[in-house]
Amino acid sequence: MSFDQHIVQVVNASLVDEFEMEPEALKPEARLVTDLGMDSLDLMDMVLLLQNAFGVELREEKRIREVRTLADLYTLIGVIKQEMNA
Amino acid sequence: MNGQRVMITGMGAVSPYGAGVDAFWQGLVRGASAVGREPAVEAIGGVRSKVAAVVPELDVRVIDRKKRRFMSNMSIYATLAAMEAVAQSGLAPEHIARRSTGLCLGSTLGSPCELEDFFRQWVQTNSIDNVKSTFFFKIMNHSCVANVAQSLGIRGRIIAPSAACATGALAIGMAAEMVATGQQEIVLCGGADEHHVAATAVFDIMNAASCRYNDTPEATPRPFDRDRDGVVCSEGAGMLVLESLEHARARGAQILGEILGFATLSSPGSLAHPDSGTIQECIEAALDSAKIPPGKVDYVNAHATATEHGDLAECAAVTGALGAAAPVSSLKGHFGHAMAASGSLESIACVKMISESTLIPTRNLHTPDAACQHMNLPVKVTGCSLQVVLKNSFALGGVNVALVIGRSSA
Repeated sequence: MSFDQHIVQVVNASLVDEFEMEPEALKPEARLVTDLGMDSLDLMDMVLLLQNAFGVELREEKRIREVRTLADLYTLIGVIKQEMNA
Repeated sequence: MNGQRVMITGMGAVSPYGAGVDAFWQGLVRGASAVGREPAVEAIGGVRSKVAAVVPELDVRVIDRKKRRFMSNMSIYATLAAMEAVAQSGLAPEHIARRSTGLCLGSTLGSPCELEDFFRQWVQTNSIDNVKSTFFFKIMNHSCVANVAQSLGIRGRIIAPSAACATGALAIGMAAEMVATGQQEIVLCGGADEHHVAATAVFDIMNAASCRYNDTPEATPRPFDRDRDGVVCSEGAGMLVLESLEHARARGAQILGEILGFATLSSPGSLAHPDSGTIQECIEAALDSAKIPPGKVDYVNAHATATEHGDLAECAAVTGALGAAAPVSSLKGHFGHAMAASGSLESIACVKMISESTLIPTRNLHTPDAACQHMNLPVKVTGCSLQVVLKNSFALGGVNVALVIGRSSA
Protein backbone atom coordinates (compact mmCIF):
# COMPACT_ATOMS: atom_id res chain seq x y z
CA MET A 1 0.00 0.00 0.00
CA SER A 2 1.36 3.46 -0.76
CA PHE A 3 0.77 6.41 1.50
CA ASP A 4 1.03 10.14 1.08
CA GLN A 5 4.69 10.62 2.01
CA HIS A 6 4.05 14.05 3.48
CA ILE A 7 1.51 12.52 5.87
CA VAL A 8 3.92 9.73 6.81
CA GLN A 9 6.69 12.22 7.42
CA VAL A 10 4.62 14.55 9.59
CA VAL A 11 2.98 11.77 11.63
CA ASN A 12 6.28 10.01 12.23
CA ALA A 13 8.11 13.21 13.15
CA SER A 14 5.34 14.06 15.61
CA LEU A 15 5.56 10.63 17.24
CA VAL A 16 9.35 10.82 17.50
CA ASP A 17 9.30 14.33 18.97
CA GLU A 18 6.40 14.01 21.36
CA PHE A 19 6.53 10.37 22.38
CA GLU A 20 10.27 9.78 21.98
CA MET A 21 9.70 6.82 19.67
CA GLU A 22 12.58 5.26 17.73
CA PRO A 23 12.18 6.13 14.02
CA GLU A 24 12.93 2.54 12.99
CA ALA A 25 9.95 1.31 15.03
CA LEU A 26 7.55 3.39 12.95
CA LYS A 27 6.58 0.80 10.35
CA PRO A 28 3.13 1.08 8.73
CA GLU A 29 2.04 -2.23 10.26
CA ALA A 30 3.06 -1.17 13.77
CA ARG A 31 0.10 -1.18 16.17
CA LEU A 32 -0.14 1.98 18.24
CA VAL A 33 -0.90 0.28 21.54
CA THR A 34 0.66 -3.14 21.46
CA ASP A 35 3.75 -2.39 19.35
CA LEU A 36 4.43 1.28 20.05
CA GLY A 37 3.38 1.22 23.72
CA MET A 38 0.87 4.05 23.57
CA ASP A 39 -1.88 4.21 26.17
CA SER A 40 -5.16 6.10 26.27
CA LEU A 41 -3.55 9.38 27.41
CA ASP A 42 -0.92 9.15 24.67
CA LEU A 43 -3.64 8.53 22.09
CA MET A 44 -5.56 11.61 23.25
CA ASP A 45 -2.44 13.76 23.01
CA MET A 46 -1.56 12.27 19.63
CA VAL A 47 -4.97 13.26 18.30
CA LEU A 48 -4.40 16.82 19.52
CA LEU A 49 -0.97 16.93 17.94
CA LEU A 50 -2.16 15.65 14.57
CA GLN A 51 -5.19 17.93 14.52
CA ASN A 52 -2.81 20.87 14.75
CA ALA A 53 -0.28 19.43 12.32
CA PHE A 54 -2.82 18.75 9.56
CA GLY A 55 -5.56 21.27 10.35
CA VAL A 56 -8.16 18.50 10.54
CA GLU A 57 -10.77 17.57 13.15
CA LEU A 58 -9.92 14.21 14.71
CA ARG A 59 -11.21 14.44 18.28
CA GLU A 60 -14.86 14.09 17.31
CA GLU A 61 -14.10 11.89 14.28
CA LYS A 62 -15.75 8.50 14.82
CA ARG A 63 -13.38 6.73 12.42
CA ILE A 64 -10.39 7.53 14.70
CA ARG A 65 -11.71 4.82 17.04
CA GLU A 66 -11.08 2.22 14.36
CA VAL A 67 -7.41 3.15 13.99
CA ARG A 68 -5.13 0.37 15.18
CA THR A 69 -1.94 0.73 13.15
CA LEU A 70 0.16 3.53 11.74
CA ALA A 71 -1.13 2.55 8.29
CA ASP A 72 -4.69 3.08 9.53
CA LEU A 73 -3.68 6.50 10.77
CA TYR A 74 -1.92 7.58 7.55
CA THR A 75 -4.96 6.43 5.56
CA LEU A 76 -7.54 8.14 7.75
CA ILE A 77 -5.71 11.47 7.69
CA GLY A 78 -5.41 11.23 3.90
CA VAL A 79 -9.12 10.46 3.55
CA ILE A 80 -10.17 13.31 5.83
CA LYS A 81 -7.92 15.75 3.98
CA GLN A 82 -9.40 14.62 0.65
CA GLU A 83 -12.92 15.04 2.05
CA MET A 84 -12.04 18.54 3.19
CA ASN A 85 -10.72 19.44 -0.26
CA ALA A 86 -13.65 17.86 -2.15
CA MET B 1 13.47 13.87 69.51
CA ASN B 2 11.28 11.62 71.57
CA GLY B 3 11.04 8.07 70.33
CA GLN B 4 13.38 6.32 67.93
CA ARG B 5 16.55 7.97 66.71
CA VAL B 6 16.21 9.25 63.16
CA MET B 7 19.16 8.73 60.85
CA ILE B 8 19.96 10.22 57.45
CA THR B 9 21.04 7.43 55.10
CA GLY B 10 20.73 9.00 51.65
CA MET B 11 20.79 12.41 49.98
CA GLY B 12 20.06 13.69 46.50
CA ALA B 13 20.19 17.16 45.00
CA VAL B 14 19.34 19.10 41.88
CA SER B 15 20.58 22.65 42.23
CA PRO B 16 21.65 25.58 40.06
CA TYR B 17 25.06 23.87 40.08
CA GLY B 18 23.55 20.88 38.25
CA ALA B 19 22.45 17.38 39.14
CA GLY B 20 23.85 15.59 42.16
CA VAL B 21 25.04 16.23 45.69
CA ASP B 22 28.66 16.26 44.48
CA ALA B 23 28.05 19.12 42.01
CA PHE B 24 26.16 21.00 44.73
CA TRP B 25 28.85 20.51 47.35
CA GLN B 26 31.72 21.31 44.98
CA GLY B 27 29.95 24.53 43.95
CA LEU B 28 29.69 25.54 47.60
CA VAL B 29 33.28 24.62 48.46
CA ARG B 30 34.57 26.55 45.42
CA GLY B 31 32.52 29.54 46.51
CA ALA B 32 31.06 29.69 43.02
CA SER B 33 28.08 31.90 42.29
CA ALA B 34 25.20 30.17 40.49
CA VAL B 35 23.40 33.49 39.94
CA GLY B 36 23.13 35.03 36.49
CA ARG B 37 21.02 37.31 34.31
CA GLU B 38 17.75 35.53 33.61
CA PRO B 39 16.16 36.21 30.21
CA ALA B 40 12.73 35.02 31.37
CA VAL B 41 12.71 37.72 34.04
CA GLU B 42 14.05 40.37 31.69
CA ALA B 43 11.17 39.70 29.31
CA ILE B 44 8.50 40.91 31.76
CA GLY B 45 7.95 44.63 32.09
CA GLY B 46 8.14 46.26 35.50
CA VAL B 47 10.26 43.58 37.14
CA ARG B 48 13.32 45.46 38.29
CA SER B 49 15.27 42.41 39.41
CA LYS B 50 16.82 40.74 36.34
CA VAL B 51 18.71 37.92 38.05
CA ALA B 52 18.05 34.34 39.13
CA ALA B 53 19.88 31.07 39.75
CA VAL B 54 18.44 28.39 37.51
CA VAL B 55 19.18 24.70 37.07
CA PRO B 56 21.23 23.98 33.94
CA GLU B 57 19.95 21.57 31.31
CA LEU B 58 19.70 18.04 32.69
CA ASP B 59 19.53 14.57 31.19
CA VAL B 60 15.87 13.95 31.94
CA ARG B 61 15.59 10.78 29.88
CA VAL B 62 16.76 8.75 32.87
CA ILE B 63 13.12 9.16 33.96
CA ASP B 64 10.81 6.95 31.95
CA ARG B 65 8.76 8.98 29.44
CA LYS B 66 5.46 7.61 30.67
CA LYS B 67 6.29 8.87 34.16
CA ARG B 68 7.88 12.09 32.92
CA ARG B 69 4.88 13.19 30.85
CA PHE B 70 3.10 14.07 34.11
CA MET B 71 5.99 16.18 35.37
CA SER B 72 6.84 19.83 35.19
CA ASN B 73 10.41 20.82 36.02
CA MET B 74 9.85 20.76 39.78
CA SER B 75 8.75 17.11 39.69
CA ILE B 76 11.65 16.24 37.41
CA TYR B 77 14.08 17.83 39.85
CA ALA B 78 12.44 16.04 42.79
CA THR B 79 12.48 12.69 40.99
CA LEU B 80 16.14 12.96 40.02
CA ALA B 81 17.08 13.98 43.56
CA ALA B 82 14.98 11.17 45.04
CA MET B 83 16.58 8.61 42.73
CA GLU B 84 20.03 9.77 43.84
CA ALA B 85 19.06 9.68 47.52
CA VAL B 86 17.64 6.17 47.26
CA ALA B 87 20.70 4.96 45.33
CA GLN B 88 23.02 6.34 48.00
CA SER B 89 20.96 4.83 50.80
CA GLY B 90 21.28 1.35 49.30
CA LEU B 91 17.58 0.73 49.86
CA ALA B 92 16.38 -2.20 47.79
CA PRO B 93 13.13 -2.15 45.79
CA GLU B 94 11.52 -4.35 48.46
CA HIS B 95 12.25 -1.68 51.11
CA ILE B 96 10.69 1.01 48.92
CA ALA B 97 7.60 -1.09 48.22
CA ARG B 98 6.70 -1.59 51.87
CA ARG B 99 3.78 0.30 53.36
CA SER B 100 6.16 1.43 56.09
CA THR B 101 8.13 3.54 53.59
CA GLY B 102 6.65 6.99 53.01
CA LEU B 103 7.32 10.21 51.18
CA CYS B 104 6.97 13.76 52.49
CA LEU B 105 7.71 16.32 49.78
CA GLY B 106 6.31 19.73 48.98
CA SER B 107 6.59 22.73 46.72
CA THR B 108 5.47 26.33 46.99
CA LEU B 109 2.78 25.94 44.30
CA GLY B 110 1.75 23.54 41.59
CA SER B 111 3.77 24.24 38.44
CA PRO B 112 3.59 27.98 37.70
CA CYS B 113 5.19 27.43 34.28
CA GLU B 114 2.43 25.03 33.23
CA LEU B 115 -0.26 27.27 34.69
CA GLU B 116 1.09 30.19 32.68
CA ASP B 117 0.94 28.15 29.46
CA PHE B 118 -2.60 27.01 30.23
CA PHE B 119 -4.00 30.43 31.04
CA ARG B 120 -2.12 32.10 28.20
CA GLN B 121 -4.03 29.90 25.78
CA TRP B 122 -7.27 30.18 27.75
CA VAL B 123 -7.16 33.97 27.64
CA GLN B 124 -5.85 34.33 24.10
CA THR B 125 -8.11 31.79 22.39
CA ASN B 126 -10.93 31.32 24.85
CA SER B 127 -10.52 27.59 24.38
CA ILE B 128 -8.84 24.51 25.77
CA ASP B 129 -8.23 22.98 22.37
CA ASN B 130 -4.50 22.47 22.82
CA VAL B 131 -4.41 21.36 26.43
CA LYS B 132 -2.77 17.97 26.87
CA SER B 133 -4.31 15.20 28.92
CA THR B 134 -1.41 15.32 31.38
CA PHE B 135 -1.79 19.02 32.22
CA PHE B 136 -3.64 18.72 35.52
CA PHE B 137 -1.08 16.33 36.97
CA LYS B 138 1.56 19.05 36.70
CA ILE B 139 -0.33 21.76 38.51
CA MET B 140 -1.69 19.84 41.49
CA ASN B 141 -0.41 21.15 44.81
CA HIS B 142 0.83 17.62 45.50
CA SER B 143 2.25 17.11 42.02
CA CYS B 144 5.83 16.52 43.21
CA VAL B 145 4.97 13.99 45.89
CA ALA B 146 2.57 12.16 43.56
CA ASN B 147 5.08 11.99 40.73
CA VAL B 148 7.97 10.81 42.88
CA ALA B 149 5.78 8.16 44.51
CA GLN B 150 4.76 6.88 41.08
CA SER B 151 8.33 6.88 39.79
CA LEU B 152 9.80 5.09 42.79
CA GLY B 153 6.85 2.86 43.64
CA ILE B 154 6.32 4.24 47.14
CA ARG B 155 3.28 2.71 48.86
CA GLY B 156 3.29 4.23 52.34
CA ARG B 157 2.16 7.69 53.37
CA ILE B 158 2.60 10.38 50.75
CA ILE B 159 2.22 13.84 52.22
CA ALA B 160 2.74 17.21 50.56
CA PRO B 161 3.36 19.95 53.12
CA SER B 162 3.12 23.43 51.69
CA ALA B 163 4.76 26.26 53.60
CA ALA B 164 6.32 28.35 50.83
CA CYS B 165 10.02 28.88 51.52
CA ALA B 166 10.02 26.71 54.65
CA THR B 167 8.51 23.69 52.88
CA GLY B 168 11.70 21.65 52.49
CA ALA B 169 12.73 21.98 56.13
CA LEU B 170 9.16 21.38 57.28
CA ALA B 171 9.01 18.18 55.22
CA ILE B 172 12.20 16.93 56.85
CA GLY B 173 10.84 17.71 60.31
CA MET B 174 7.51 16.02 59.64
CA ALA B 175 9.29 13.00 58.17
CA ALA B 176 11.58 12.80 61.20
CA GLU B 177 8.56 12.78 63.53
CA MET B 178 6.93 10.01 61.51
CA VAL B 179 10.08 7.88 61.85
CA ALA B 180 10.66 8.78 65.52
CA THR B 181 7.12 7.79 66.47
CA GLY B 182 7.23 4.59 64.45
CA GLN B 183 4.46 5.58 62.04
CA GLN B 184 6.88 4.88 59.18
CA GLU B 185 10.24 3.09 59.21
CA ILE B 186 11.65 5.03 56.28
CA VAL B 187 10.58 8.40 54.89
CA LEU B 188 12.04 10.06 51.82
CA CYS B 189 11.63 13.81 52.31
CA GLY B 190 12.44 17.26 51.02
CA GLY B 191 11.27 20.14 48.88
CA ALA B 192 11.30 21.13 45.22
CA ASP B 193 10.54 24.20 43.15
CA GLU B 194 10.94 25.46 39.61
CA HIS B 195 11.80 29.06 38.84
CA HIS B 196 9.10 31.21 37.33
CA VAL B 197 9.28 34.95 36.79
CA ALA B 198 6.28 35.34 39.11
CA ALA B 199 8.45 34.38 42.09
CA THR B 200 10.95 37.13 41.36
CA ALA B 201 8.09 39.52 40.57
CA VAL B 202 6.32 38.80 43.86
CA PHE B 203 9.44 39.68 45.85
CA ASP B 204 10.02 42.74 43.65
CA ILE B 205 6.47 43.98 44.23
CA MET B 206 7.23 43.86 47.97
CA ASN B 207 10.55 45.67 47.44
CA ALA B 208 12.30 42.51 48.60
CA ALA B 209 14.04 41.35 45.38
CA SER B 210 17.65 42.21 44.57
CA CYS B 211 17.67 44.94 41.88
CA ARG B 212 21.00 46.75 42.21
CA TYR B 213 23.28 43.99 40.97
CA ASN B 214 21.72 43.20 37.61
CA ASP B 215 25.05 43.89 35.87
CA THR B 216 27.09 41.95 38.44
CA PRO B 217 24.80 39.02 39.27
CA GLU B 218 27.56 37.10 41.03
CA ALA B 219 27.66 39.89 43.66
CA THR B 220 24.10 39.16 44.86
CA PRO B 221 22.35 38.14 47.06
CA ARG B 222 24.35 39.41 50.04
CA PRO B 223 22.99 37.96 53.29
CA PHE B 224 23.97 39.96 56.41
CA ASP B 225 25.92 42.44 54.29
CA ARG B 226 25.50 46.19 54.70
CA ASP B 227 24.94 46.48 50.94
CA ARG B 228 22.39 43.70 50.57
CA ASP B 229 19.27 44.56 48.59
CA GLY B 230 17.05 41.51 48.65
CA VAL B 231 16.24 38.01 47.48
CA VAL B 232 17.46 36.25 44.34
CA CYS B 233 15.12 33.43 43.37
CA SER B 234 16.39 30.03 42.35
CA GLU B 235 15.14 26.47 41.97
CA GLY B 236 15.99 22.82 42.49
CA ALA B 237 15.22 19.91 44.77
CA GLY B 238 16.82 18.38 47.82
CA MET B 239 15.81 14.94 49.06
CA LEU B 240 16.92 12.96 52.11
CA VAL B 241 16.26 9.40 53.20
CA LEU B 242 15.40 9.23 56.89
CA GLU B 243 15.08 5.94 58.73
CA SER B 244 15.11 4.66 62.26
CA LEU B 245 18.48 3.76 63.74
CA GLU B 246 17.23 0.24 64.31
CA HIS B 247 16.23 -0.19 60.68
CA ALA B 248 19.42 1.39 59.35
CA ARG B 249 21.57 -0.84 61.57
CA ALA B 250 19.65 -3.97 60.69
CA ARG B 251 20.38 -3.55 57.01
CA GLY B 252 23.94 -2.30 57.50
CA ALA B 253 23.23 1.14 56.03
CA GLN B 254 25.84 3.88 55.93
CA ILE B 255 24.68 6.61 58.30
CA LEU B 256 25.38 10.14 57.08
CA GLY B 257 23.91 12.11 59.97
CA GLU B 258 21.04 12.33 62.40
CA ILE B 259 18.00 14.54 62.84
CA LEU B 260 18.27 15.39 66.52
CA GLY B 261 15.49 17.93 66.86
CA PHE B 262 12.71 19.76 65.08
CA ALA B 263 10.26 22.52 65.85
CA THR B 264 7.84 24.61 63.84
CA LEU B 265 6.00 27.61 65.25
CA SER B 266 3.76 30.20 63.69
CA SER B 267 4.30 33.95 63.91
CA PRO B 268 0.70 35.14 64.02
CA GLY B 269 1.61 38.84 64.15
CA SER B 270 2.16 39.25 60.42
CA LEU B 271 1.93 37.27 57.19
CA ALA B 272 4.77 39.28 55.68
CA HIS B 273 7.17 40.38 58.41
CA PRO B 274 9.37 37.97 60.33
CA ASP B 275 9.19 38.17 64.10
CA SER B 276 12.42 37.60 66.00
CA GLY B 277 10.62 36.60 69.20
CA THR B 278 8.78 33.69 67.61
CA ILE B 279 11.84 32.66 65.63
CA GLN B 280 13.83 32.53 68.87
CA GLU B 281 11.10 30.45 70.49
CA CYS B 282 11.19 28.10 67.53
CA ILE B 283 14.96 27.67 67.78
CA GLU B 284 14.66 27.04 71.53
CA ALA B 285 11.89 24.51 70.98
CA ALA B 286 14.01 22.65 68.41
CA LEU B 287 16.93 22.53 70.86
CA ASP B 288 14.55 21.29 73.59
CA SER B 289 13.34 18.60 71.22
CA ALA B 290 16.98 17.60 70.59
CA LYS B 291 17.81 17.85 74.32
CA ILE B 292 20.80 19.94 73.28
CA PRO B 293 21.84 22.99 75.35
CA PRO B 294 22.38 26.19 73.34
CA GLY B 295 26.12 26.18 73.98
CA LYS B 296 26.49 22.84 72.15
CA VAL B 297 25.45 24.23 68.77
CA ASP B 298 28.61 24.35 66.66
CA TYR B 299 27.19 26.16 63.65
CA VAL B 300 23.98 27.82 62.46
CA ASN B 301 22.90 27.53 58.85
CA ALA B 302 20.70 30.59 58.54
CA HIS B 303 17.67 31.14 56.41
CA ALA B 304 18.94 34.71 55.73
CA THR B 305 17.76 35.65 52.26
CA ALA B 306 19.41 39.11 52.21
CA THR B 307 16.34 41.16 53.09
CA GLU B 308 16.82 43.69 55.85
CA HIS B 309 13.82 42.59 57.90
CA GLY B 310 14.58 38.90 57.57
CA ASP B 311 18.31 39.01 58.23
CA LEU B 312 17.99 41.25 61.27
CA ALA B 313 15.12 39.29 62.81
CA GLU B 314 17.10 36.07 62.43
CA CYS B 315 20.25 37.67 63.88
CA ALA B 316 18.31 38.83 66.92
CA ALA B 317 16.64 35.43 67.33
CA VAL B 318 19.86 33.43 67.00
CA THR B 319 21.67 35.74 69.41
CA GLY B 320 18.79 35.52 71.87
CA ALA B 321 18.67 31.73 71.73
CA LEU B 322 22.36 30.84 71.45
CA GLY B 323 24.43 33.91 72.17
CA ALA B 324 26.88 35.18 69.58
CA ALA B 325 29.65 32.59 69.70
CA ALA B 326 28.49 30.01 67.16
CA PRO B 327 29.45 30.70 63.54
CA VAL B 328 26.48 31.60 61.35
CA SER B 329 26.31 31.54 57.56
CA SER B 330 23.71 31.61 54.82
CA LEU B 331 24.10 29.78 51.52
CA LYS B 332 21.73 32.09 49.64
CA GLY B 333 24.77 34.12 48.47
CA HIS B 334 25.94 31.04 46.54
CA PHE B 335 22.80 29.83 44.80
CA GLY B 336 19.98 32.18 45.74
CA HIS B 337 16.75 31.21 47.39
CA ALA B 338 15.48 27.89 46.07
CA MET B 339 12.08 28.45 47.68
CA ALA B 340 10.55 25.14 48.80
CA ALA B 341 13.83 23.40 48.00
CA SER B 342 15.98 25.77 50.05
CA GLY B 343 15.49 24.11 53.43
CA SER B 344 16.26 20.62 52.17
CA LEU B 345 19.17 21.61 49.91
CA GLU B 346 20.70 23.59 52.76
CA SER B 347 20.14 20.68 55.16
CA ILE B 348 22.07 18.48 52.74
CA ALA B 349 24.84 21.09 52.78
CA CYS B 350 24.80 20.93 56.59
CA VAL B 351 25.25 17.15 56.54
CA LYS B 352 28.15 17.57 54.11
CA MET B 353 29.71 20.29 56.28
CA ILE B 354 29.56 17.92 59.26
CA SER B 355 30.93 14.90 57.39
CA GLU B 356 33.64 16.89 55.55
CA SER B 357 34.52 19.00 58.63
CA THR B 358 34.26 22.07 56.41
CA LEU B 359 32.28 25.20 57.18
CA ILE B 360 30.89 27.06 54.16
CA PRO B 361 30.75 30.83 54.77
CA THR B 362 28.29 33.41 53.44
CA ARG B 363 29.18 34.37 49.87
CA ASN B 364 29.07 38.11 49.09
CA LEU B 365 29.38 39.08 52.74
CA HIS B 366 32.03 41.80 52.89
CA THR B 367 30.85 44.37 55.43
CA PRO B 368 28.36 43.03 57.97
CA ASP B 369 25.34 45.17 58.70
CA ALA B 370 25.91 47.14 61.90
CA ALA B 371 23.13 45.19 63.60
CA CYS B 372 24.90 41.88 62.80
CA GLN B 373 28.46 42.90 63.66
CA HIS B 374 28.37 41.23 67.07
CA MET B 375 27.83 37.86 65.42
CA ASN B 376 30.36 35.28 64.30
CA LEU B 377 29.88 35.50 60.50
CA PRO B 378 32.65 33.58 58.71
CA VAL B 379 33.67 34.75 55.24
CA LYS B 380 36.17 32.00 54.35
CA VAL B 381 35.83 28.25 53.95
CA THR B 382 37.07 26.90 57.25
CA GLY B 383 38.05 23.43 58.37
CA CYS B 384 36.41 22.61 61.70
CA SER B 385 34.81 19.74 63.54
CA LEU B 386 31.03 20.13 63.68
CA GLN B 387 28.95 17.89 65.93
CA VAL B 388 25.63 19.78 66.12
CA VAL B 389 24.21 22.15 63.53
CA LEU B 390 21.07 24.29 63.67
CA LYS B 391 19.22 24.79 60.37
CA ASN B 392 16.68 27.61 60.19
CA SER B 393 14.00 28.03 57.55
CA PHE B 394 11.23 30.61 57.44
CA ALA B 395 8.38 31.48 55.11
CA LEU B 396 5.99 34.23 54.20
CA GLY B 397 2.78 33.37 56.00
CA GLY B 398 4.47 33.32 59.40
CA VAL B 399 5.92 29.79 59.24
CA ASN B 400 9.12 29.16 61.17
CA VAL B 401 11.05 25.89 61.15
CA ALA B 402 14.21 24.88 63.00
CA LEU B 403 16.02 21.58 62.58
CA VAL B 404 18.88 20.27 64.69
CA ILE B 405 21.19 18.03 62.67
CA GLY B 406 23.97 15.98 64.23
CA ARG B 407 27.05 14.01 63.29
CA SER B 408 26.33 10.33 63.20
CA SER B 409 27.35 8.77 66.50
CA ALA B 410 25.68 5.43 65.84
